[in-house]
Amino acid sequence: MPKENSDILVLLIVSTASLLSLSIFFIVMVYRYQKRMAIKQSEMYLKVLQAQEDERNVIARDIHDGLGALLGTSHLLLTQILSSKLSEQDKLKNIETATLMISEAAKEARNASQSLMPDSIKRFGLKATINDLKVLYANRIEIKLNNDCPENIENLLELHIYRIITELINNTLKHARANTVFLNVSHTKHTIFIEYYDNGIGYDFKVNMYAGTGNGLKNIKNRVELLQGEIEQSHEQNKAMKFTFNYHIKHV
Amino acid sequence: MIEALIDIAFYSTLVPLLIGMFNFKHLDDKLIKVFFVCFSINSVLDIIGYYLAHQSIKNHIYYNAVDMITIVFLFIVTRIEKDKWVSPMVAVLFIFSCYNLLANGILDFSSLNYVVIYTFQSIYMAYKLSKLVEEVDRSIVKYSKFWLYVGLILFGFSTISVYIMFEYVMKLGDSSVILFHSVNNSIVCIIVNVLYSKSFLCQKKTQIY
Repeated sequence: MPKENSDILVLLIVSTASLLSLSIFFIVMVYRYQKRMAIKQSEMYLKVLQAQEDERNVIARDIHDGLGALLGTSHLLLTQILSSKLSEQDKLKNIETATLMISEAAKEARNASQSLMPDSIKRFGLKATINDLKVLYANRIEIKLNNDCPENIENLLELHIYRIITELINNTLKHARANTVFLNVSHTKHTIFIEYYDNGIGYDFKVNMYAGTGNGLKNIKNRVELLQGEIEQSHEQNKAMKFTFNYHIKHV
Repeated sequence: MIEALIDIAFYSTLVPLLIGMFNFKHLDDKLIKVFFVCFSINSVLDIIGYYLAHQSIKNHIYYNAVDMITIVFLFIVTRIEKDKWVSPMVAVLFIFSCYNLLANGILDFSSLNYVVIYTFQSIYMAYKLSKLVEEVDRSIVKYSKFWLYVGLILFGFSTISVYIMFEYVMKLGDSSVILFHSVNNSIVCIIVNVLYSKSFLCQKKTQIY
């Protein structure tokens, strides 16, 4: 075979093999990328389901311990009235206590309903609902609020942000031994920033996040990831904690 | 041996053709149906070309027709997939091919046309494959489009090298180079026909109402 012909043959073989290898490499990369994406997506769905279950647990526990106990005691008091053993004075006392308890139960039910699906989000938007938090938690903690929340943002985003904020306040109430929380909501054209900190004892976010001691922080992290937001947590051990979230806003 | 390989490659076209024909109603996507129609026409033209070559009759016009049908297929794909910016490129490709054919003579094979059309097709299909990742909600290999894109990418990129130097190779008339071309084309044909068969076998996703 003349040298020129053999050179051409080698060139053809090499170029064909190179192009073929490149195409196969590209196809394999696409396949692997999709596989990774699918796994990530299914993990995200699982996290969402887990968050839902956790929330249901919290609601069930709240109803059982709060509303259930109040109504149960009221029932007991009213049943005692029906029995003839009690004096008229005791009966009146029971009615008075039961009335107070039913009134308390109605308040509990309102609070539970508010935390399940705050009506004001639908009616007045997130900004007004965040303002209402000051009143809602007034007898438990002081909320120092600087609220520049954008109007008319996606409903789902509003709900997630609201839940994150309430989860943070509940964490503070349960663990931080704080008496004041500072909440700063601001935004640019496309991003919303939420800054939250309290004056409590603080704790190590990473340790609490991954040690499995509670679900509150995991729920917050899942919600932030779900909305493709970013979470920044700065803390010094045994000092106040500070959260910052960044979200891309979708206006409606 | 080589003759047998070429024959196997030639008859392997029948496999996706028959699968597509019997499975036409259940084909996964509108794009796959369009591809099947174009593939069927191209297969008929290939058969005619193959038998004419056996009779030592010039068959280039049929291969030019195959190229044109490929352009039509690409244009329909851009319309179905709403790739508005690709449609004008396909139109330019069509004008270029027509001009090139008229300049070369319709009865002669234009390797330049082949290289331009199949390079464009392969790059476009690679782009479509990368986009498919965002559209799917289950494993990508369950989509007939995946196998179709893979087939078209492999077919284009593994055959264009020879056609880039086709005129020169033919002038040399070296048997080993022509042998490589035949073997390469035959192997690619068999692989690609398997991929098309797989594509036609993918079922529609069951919808639950």
